[in-house]
Amino acid sequence: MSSAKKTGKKPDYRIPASDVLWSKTAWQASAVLTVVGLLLCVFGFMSDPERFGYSYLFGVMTVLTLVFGGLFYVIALHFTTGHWGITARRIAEVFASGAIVVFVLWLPFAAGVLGGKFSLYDEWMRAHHDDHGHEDGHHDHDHDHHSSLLGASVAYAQDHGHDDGHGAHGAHTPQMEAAHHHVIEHKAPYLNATRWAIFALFYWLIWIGFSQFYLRRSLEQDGADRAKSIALSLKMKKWSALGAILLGLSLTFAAFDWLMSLEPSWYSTIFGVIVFAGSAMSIFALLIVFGVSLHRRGIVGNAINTEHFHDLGKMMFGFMCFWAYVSFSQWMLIWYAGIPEESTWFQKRWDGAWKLWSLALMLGHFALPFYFLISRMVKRRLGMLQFGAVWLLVLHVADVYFFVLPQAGRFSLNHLDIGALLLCGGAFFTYVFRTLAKHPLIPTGDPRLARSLHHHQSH
Amino acid sequence: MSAAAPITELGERSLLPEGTTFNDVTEAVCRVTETKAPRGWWILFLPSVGLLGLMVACIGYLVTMGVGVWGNNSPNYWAWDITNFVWWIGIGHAGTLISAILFLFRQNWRTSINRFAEAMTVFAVLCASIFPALHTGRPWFDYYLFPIPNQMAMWPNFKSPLMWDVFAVNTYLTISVIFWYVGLIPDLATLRDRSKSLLRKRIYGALALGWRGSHRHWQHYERGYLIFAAISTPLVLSVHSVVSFDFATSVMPGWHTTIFPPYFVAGAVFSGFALVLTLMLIVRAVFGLHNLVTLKHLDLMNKFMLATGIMVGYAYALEFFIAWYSGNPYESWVFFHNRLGFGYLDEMGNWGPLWWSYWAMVSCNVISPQLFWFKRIRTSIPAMFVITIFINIGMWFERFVIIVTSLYRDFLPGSWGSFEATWVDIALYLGTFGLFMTLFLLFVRWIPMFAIAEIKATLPHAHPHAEHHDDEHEHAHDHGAEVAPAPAE
Repeated sequence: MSSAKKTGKKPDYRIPASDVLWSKTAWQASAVLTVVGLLLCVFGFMSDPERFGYSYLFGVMTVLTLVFGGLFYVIALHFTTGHWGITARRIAEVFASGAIVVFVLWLPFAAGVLGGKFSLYDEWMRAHHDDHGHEDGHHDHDHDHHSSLLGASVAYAQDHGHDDGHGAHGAHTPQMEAAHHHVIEHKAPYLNATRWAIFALFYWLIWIGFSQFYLRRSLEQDGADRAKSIALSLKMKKWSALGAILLGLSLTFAAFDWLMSLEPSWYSTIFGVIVFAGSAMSIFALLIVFGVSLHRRGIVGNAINTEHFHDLGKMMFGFMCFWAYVSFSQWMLIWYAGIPEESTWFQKRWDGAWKLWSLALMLGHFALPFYFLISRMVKRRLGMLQFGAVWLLVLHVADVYFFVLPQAGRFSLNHLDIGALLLCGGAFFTYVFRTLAKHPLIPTGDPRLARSLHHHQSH
Repeated sequence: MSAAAPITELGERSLLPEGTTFNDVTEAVCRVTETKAPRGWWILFLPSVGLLGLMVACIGYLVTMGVGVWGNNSPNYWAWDITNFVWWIGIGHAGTLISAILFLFRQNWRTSINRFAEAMTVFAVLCASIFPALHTGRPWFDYYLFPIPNQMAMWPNFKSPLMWDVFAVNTYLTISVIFWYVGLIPDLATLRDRSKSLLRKRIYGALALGWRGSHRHWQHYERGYLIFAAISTPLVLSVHSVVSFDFATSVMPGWHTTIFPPYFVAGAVFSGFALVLTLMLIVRAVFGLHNLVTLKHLDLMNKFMLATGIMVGYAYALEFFIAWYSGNPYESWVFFHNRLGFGYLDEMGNWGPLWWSYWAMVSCNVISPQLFWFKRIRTSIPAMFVITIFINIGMWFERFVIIVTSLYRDFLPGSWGSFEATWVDIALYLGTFGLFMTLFLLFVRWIPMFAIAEIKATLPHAHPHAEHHDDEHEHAHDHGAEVAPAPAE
């Protein structure tokens, strides 16, 4: 029971100064990790900028998916006008508003990419004026695609084969290489530095704009009278439809621009949906991890209780299954058809130690937690549920790693990856903990709050 | 103030008109099966039986003559047959989505449409299964599809997605029928208890499986219902995903793309909702059920269609983008020449002759549901009636576009062809409407078409705490089940 209850006052759902863990230790520890991460990153940038580019992208994408998740939670709750999740919404709003921090973290990445320090996208971004460039004048777009396509994939597979150290070095003929570059050249209207940068600015505008809008309106509602609070709810609902569409599009194309284009000859229409599925799962896991701790320490009283955690657990379980469904669909269709330029992406992730990583994701991100979390009992025992949520968050980080790092070549989990994760995660969570300490932890002004507080499962 | 009460300032309203009693619900639903059919029912029923006859005749003709009587040709080895199959399967998605997924999401408004939609699911899947069964050419050998030991030691090829279809569709049909029937039991008992004639009492009594409405019965029922909902939920996704695998596992440009499974599911829900709504509007008018299916229900269904329509639009757009982005000229050819009719011209300088089917699809599926952004349209019966019909047409064209426009102008100009439907194609498709509508109208007449017990559970007086709720935020003590089971009467 909350301390507020004991003293007979109405709870204000704020983190009390007496709770050292939530008011101090948490953000201070995050800040320390940020500094450690920063040092590792500076070292990484000096010693191996090429590899560090991948590590840093992994760090940024990890926290960005949490922002996606937060935005999704807040926006979806508004347009479905669901009441079950209102008490946990404030925490999600704070996660979403971390978009600003992630933007700041992203800036050095963009500068590195555009300034030529990071070479992850060089295959297409600098195709015209680096050593990959071709002077064979092979420019007729209308003909000769037929031979070039197969050539492209073969050349590409071999290109990357020698990254791994066991490809056939001399096997790719100049024709094959030309064909490969021909395909990349075809994509130049989309895959070019200017478009990449301009689109990115739009994405950030959407993410920062919507996350700030929702956090601020919701805070404004905390102290508002009933008429004002109703007006704010209607306003937030009104914007949620547009928000959902813009979030869907920006998430998809950001996934294409920042992750899929790491392998420019590869393509998959479902890719954005997979990134979304992982993001959505991660927000429910985060809300459980944070919420259970706050609940146990009496900070949110009974406002987020077993009934809410049960629902959050169901949603986490559901999106975990959805992640498995879309990931399986992508893999199965590509495996079944066996078209070379599509299978390269999975080929890399089945090479050497990456194979274990792929298997670990299948088991850890789906098969094992499926049996663990399917039970109602587990979803209502907060300790077990929290364990499941931490587990899935770790696997979510592994999933983001799986998107990025196999593109850097052979498996090697190194200090640069850890540094980037510490820097990005540390900075993001420093912000989150600091912000949570400033505001009420549940949206006390929401007109539907009473319904959420009285929420009960009927089965 | 009760926390469950609608907050009118936020635009919330109760589902059913204020003051609706349990008895009103029972009367409204049971009356349909107990009184003489209104004239409107006969006006629909007689032509439906006629079309059913047409279907039987067409199947007879087709089996006698062979599939050559269809318009299928080289290179369009699949055409209306599989288009109709996928279309009907898609229609069959709304039922289980509404009854299972919306149940798990506690969407109470589903109670006024779920029974109806579940019945449609069963009938639509029956209609769908006719087409693949016939398209094998020798339907009397269809039993080869099942792993039955036979004298030729032949065994199904489990690597084929067409085999997966057989299992996915049969599983879906089985579970949907059981789920539907389990839900019906308390309502059949209500009909039994109201029966005036002995025959009626015996029939409904047998169907109600000895339901007495005891606490123990309800407890088992609710538990069973929840478990079936949980089993059905992955099935809603798996059936149409497997149907999409029929196409997407191939290497055909236009078919092979990774977004197909979720895209097919979204499209299926979209079309299923559209047909549910089309028929709901008719039945509501014929039987005067305006108090059970209110504008609020219709509004919510229209929002659902808007959302799924946008998802489908997202998939169309991404397919196009990736067709270009892939750098695969065959993909671009299918999308730009065969479908869009823009950009890629053939040697004669022409667009693909079936470009109009793509545009029919886009205007019906993506553009027309955008009208649902306006509340006036979402709550206007004539407008939504027209739009749902557009969506049904559009979703038929979607499958036609996927199948025929991927095939008709393929890799080699020498093998190009076009497609024209024959009278058998058209008559058989219309005939399946006869089968569907006949079964549907019989269902409406003899089986409670609304889930009486479930609707009652959404009424305010079914809530144990409806009258007394303090506004105190902290609520430490535990409540029992939120929704008390409603009596079966």
